[in-house]
Amino acid sequence: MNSLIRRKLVENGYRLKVPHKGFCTGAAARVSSSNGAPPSNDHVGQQKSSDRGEPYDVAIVGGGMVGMAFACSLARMPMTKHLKVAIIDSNPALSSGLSIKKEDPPDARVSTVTPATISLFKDIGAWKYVEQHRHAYFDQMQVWDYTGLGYTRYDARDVHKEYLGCVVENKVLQSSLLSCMQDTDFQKTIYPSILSSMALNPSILSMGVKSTSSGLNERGNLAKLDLSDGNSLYAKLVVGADGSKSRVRELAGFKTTGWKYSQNAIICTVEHTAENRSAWQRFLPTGPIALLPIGDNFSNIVWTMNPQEATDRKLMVEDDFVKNVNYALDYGFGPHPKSSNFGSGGIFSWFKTDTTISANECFKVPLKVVKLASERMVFPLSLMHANNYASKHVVLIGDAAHTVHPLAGQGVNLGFGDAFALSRIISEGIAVGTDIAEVNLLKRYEAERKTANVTMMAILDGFQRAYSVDFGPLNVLRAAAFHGAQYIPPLKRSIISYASGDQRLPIFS
Amino acid sequence: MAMTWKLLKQLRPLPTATASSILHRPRFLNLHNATRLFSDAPPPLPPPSVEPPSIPPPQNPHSPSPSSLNQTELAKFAAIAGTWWDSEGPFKPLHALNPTRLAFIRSTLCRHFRRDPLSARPFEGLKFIDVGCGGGILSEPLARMGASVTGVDAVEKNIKIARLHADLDPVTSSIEYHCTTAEKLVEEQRSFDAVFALEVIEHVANPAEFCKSLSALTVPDGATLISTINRSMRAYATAIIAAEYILHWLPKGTHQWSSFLTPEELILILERASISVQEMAGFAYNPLTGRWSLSDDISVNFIAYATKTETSTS
Repeated sequence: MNSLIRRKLVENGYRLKVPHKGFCTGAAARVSSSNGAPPSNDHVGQQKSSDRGEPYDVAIVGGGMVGMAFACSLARMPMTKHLKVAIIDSNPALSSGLSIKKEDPPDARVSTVTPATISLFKDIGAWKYVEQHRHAYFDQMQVWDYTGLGYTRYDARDVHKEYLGCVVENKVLQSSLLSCMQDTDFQKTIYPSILSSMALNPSILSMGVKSTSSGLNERGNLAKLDLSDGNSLYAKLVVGADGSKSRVRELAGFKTTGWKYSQNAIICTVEHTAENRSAWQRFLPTGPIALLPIGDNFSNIVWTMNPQEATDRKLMVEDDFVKNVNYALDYGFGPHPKSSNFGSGGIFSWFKTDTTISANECFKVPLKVVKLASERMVFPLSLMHANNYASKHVVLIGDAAHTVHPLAGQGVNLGFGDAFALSRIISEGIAVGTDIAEVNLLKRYEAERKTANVTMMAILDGFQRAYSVDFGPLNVLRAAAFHGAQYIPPLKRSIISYASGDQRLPIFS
Repeated sequence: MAMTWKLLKQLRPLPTATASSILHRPRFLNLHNATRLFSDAPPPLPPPSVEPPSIPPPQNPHSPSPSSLNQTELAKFAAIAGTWWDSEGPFKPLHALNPTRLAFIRSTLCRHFRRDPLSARPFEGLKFIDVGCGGGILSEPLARMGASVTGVDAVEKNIKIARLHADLDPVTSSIEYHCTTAEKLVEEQRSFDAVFALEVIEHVANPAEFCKSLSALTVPDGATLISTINRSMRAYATAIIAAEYILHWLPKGTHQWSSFLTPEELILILERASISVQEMAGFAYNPLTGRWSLSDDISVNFIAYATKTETSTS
């Protein structure tokens, strides 16, 4: 390892004292200057810091959607745009700019972005980059189950909006955020590596230590990150955005609570003969199947089921799978719910004056799937919540802090909420001269996001449990819930607002 | 601003000789003998009180100006000096209050020095002094906002701790800490663009002289920021009974109610020192969120932003 670094550095004409593993500047400089983007800002640079290896202000571990959203948000806010940031992610595409061509087939990994997240993106000027690629707004949604006892239709016009959400491929979100960042003067360096170990200085001050002016004391208040390719870097704040199996969370010793669902999800892209403009979700005995539009006659399927069936369905022939999907969405497992006509809402007819538009809509059958357009991927599902999001020098955002069931498309939206909340709090801290690694500041972020995240997680977990039991009285209760949501306008508006991220609590706001 | 004008209008114009009789209100607690006199006569020196051995004698023996130090007060702070940077320790309320008072400081000083409020380092090139800096809780954020900060405190232990902590971060390691007093700096003829004396004046033996020293340290058209606790019944209930005896936020005896100043008194002694108060704000604590916020209510904690006016007799 050492000789590798030495060779690289000698090539660049540096001479470093090597026993101290050099701060990775040579390798990083070459990687980040190799992309075609505006050159001067990315690399730490031959000109300034290479010899001494200036520490970073923030090191973001994980360059996925949430990590990028955080970095982009820092880049675009006036108080934080001067920060020096390192992004550690081993995805080679990240360093080369993540270019996406229009003709690329749609990726199976997509996310539903809620209106709240869209407005956060618009605040930092990143949404216009997303709109340059494939994306699909949807303004209607239908939810029903296999018992055929009830259904709910949601329409964006119920809450006087134009759309309920937008479905975007994950790689599009990632590359849009990267492009948005590259259009600024933000100093960021991308390290194409994996975090292997981390040293956080545990004590604030040890009284007996004499104040020396050696570099060691100056590094005393920093976190040291060791990467798998042998480089090391120092940073004031380490942000763990590295997903549900977060290495940062593990190294920082945060405990988690949660459980695995005995369900796996199959994800794939399918094609129709016409454009799909609505989102559909049907709860089946073994789990929900969701059909989401992603643009250009394509849709995305997220089908949750028990692990055995998941393996079977992944391996079956394409045509059989397509038939399975249509069966599951249409007449399989149970009858269609009866559509109600205007005025036959029964006891709910006294809401007639205040009905929502979607209360009068009939039950519709989803668009027929014609062919499979991508490979089928299977993921295990679990609920996880880190007991703490922050401690000195470390903070977690996104899936590293919490994972949820995909049944309401909220997972990454919680992550984006975390990223933007953290960058706002860091900005407020810098405005009053706070040290960004200070625990009190990070705990403010934790207090703000924990409530929102835990509430959402509890609700989603509740849904998951309620819909996984086939028991007569419970089925009737669920049907009543469907009817209630369909015909009681305040409840429906509440649900739409909460799922859109516009309000903090589902019922009481 | 309007509030300050209201306060100033309430003050009747007084000849200086009778000022002390009007402002010398009866006090409920007279636990220490140093009385508050606002006349220009030299005040009596504070009586010798029990001094714990850890405090080095700070006075310069041949200094002509009376020192504003109060030995009992210094002893209190020296005893808990090690816990300055423990955000869960005895200084927890101060750590919680710090961002709020910095918000006021940032807003008023960006306007005063005409700096960009959206800049991350608006105080570049300005010289600030933090009088009674303690462990450096205020000095460090000011340095991060770009100012060249000097921190002074009369307790040597505090200065040691402040230096150690500031050296951890290259940005704050440029802060100069000295164990000295405001009066000595005046003798050295130092001057600064902004002078900060936050939560200090209630621990000082002679506030009037202290304000004169602060004024001498400020350049003409410079800014002075002073924060303290109001001498009101509400403050007695909140800052002393609740904070010290019920919630145990502060060690008992940290504050003496009789040493508190009312805003009117503070404005008056500052006026006498050629400093005119421009804005005042209060701090309100929300027990549900545990956070402080700025408010118009100056009945308990308050902070004053003042500017040095040109003295007619220099």
